[in-house]
Amino acid sequence: MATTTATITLQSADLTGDALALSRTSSLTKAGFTNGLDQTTGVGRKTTQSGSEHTLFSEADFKPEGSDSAIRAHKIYLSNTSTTASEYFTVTLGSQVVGQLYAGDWAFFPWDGEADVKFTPSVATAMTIEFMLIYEA
Amino acid sequence: MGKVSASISVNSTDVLSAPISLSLSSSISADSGFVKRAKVASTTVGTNGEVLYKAGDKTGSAYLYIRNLQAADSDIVTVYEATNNDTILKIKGGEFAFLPIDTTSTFHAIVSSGDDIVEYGVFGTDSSAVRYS
Repeated sequence: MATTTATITLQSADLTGDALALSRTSSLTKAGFTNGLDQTTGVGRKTTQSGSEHTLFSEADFKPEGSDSAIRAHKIYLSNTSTTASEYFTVTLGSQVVGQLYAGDWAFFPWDGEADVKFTPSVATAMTIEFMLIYEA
Repeated sequence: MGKVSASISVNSTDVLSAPISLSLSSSISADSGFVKRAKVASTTVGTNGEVLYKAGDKTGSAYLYIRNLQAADSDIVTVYEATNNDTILKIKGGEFAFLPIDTTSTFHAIVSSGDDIVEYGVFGTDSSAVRYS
């Protein structure tokens, strides 16, 4: 059983009068189990040269197989490696826009494997998205 | 304008034959934001979900942090876009998410067991056009 941990830290000294300092760690496990997620794509990068929508992870590849209808608790990490502040990726699940990931920013969230994970670059020049999927079969 | 520093680290020594040690920080421009805990009653998508974010409340970009404070794997927090009722997240007990949200959409949360507690926050540049009460 593999063990993977994710830690998030949010800090701000000037957002409010009371400094924000939050840190949480989670051990990444399978849906309905305490067993660790045991498969991963590893960390990868994809560079695009067009403003069209791209599919990053297809639900057909990561949804339950056969009669196994249990939900999945995959985890996705994304990062926009651009250094141009105005450049962003629009992240979409199925047909639902989730949000815009701007230059230098990252995201980490669970994915149940029920809809394609897609992204659309804001410009048709070179942009690179960094990604990793940690998943269960 | 304030700043929120958001950092993530993902580590594993055995999910691959080579260790994973990923660490990244970003600095988010924000003049408003909060972290709160709420007891959520609704268990049905589309019905009285906890309002995480109202469309238009932030301008440009906004980021959502949300954590399921329940211990049990079977306790799920579901985040959905409130116009189409499209689910975007299912978060198990003890797990969290941090992601950009579309500032033109409204997002709600429900729980799998009524009165579960959810911790969440939204950070970004405020618009005075939207009120929560």
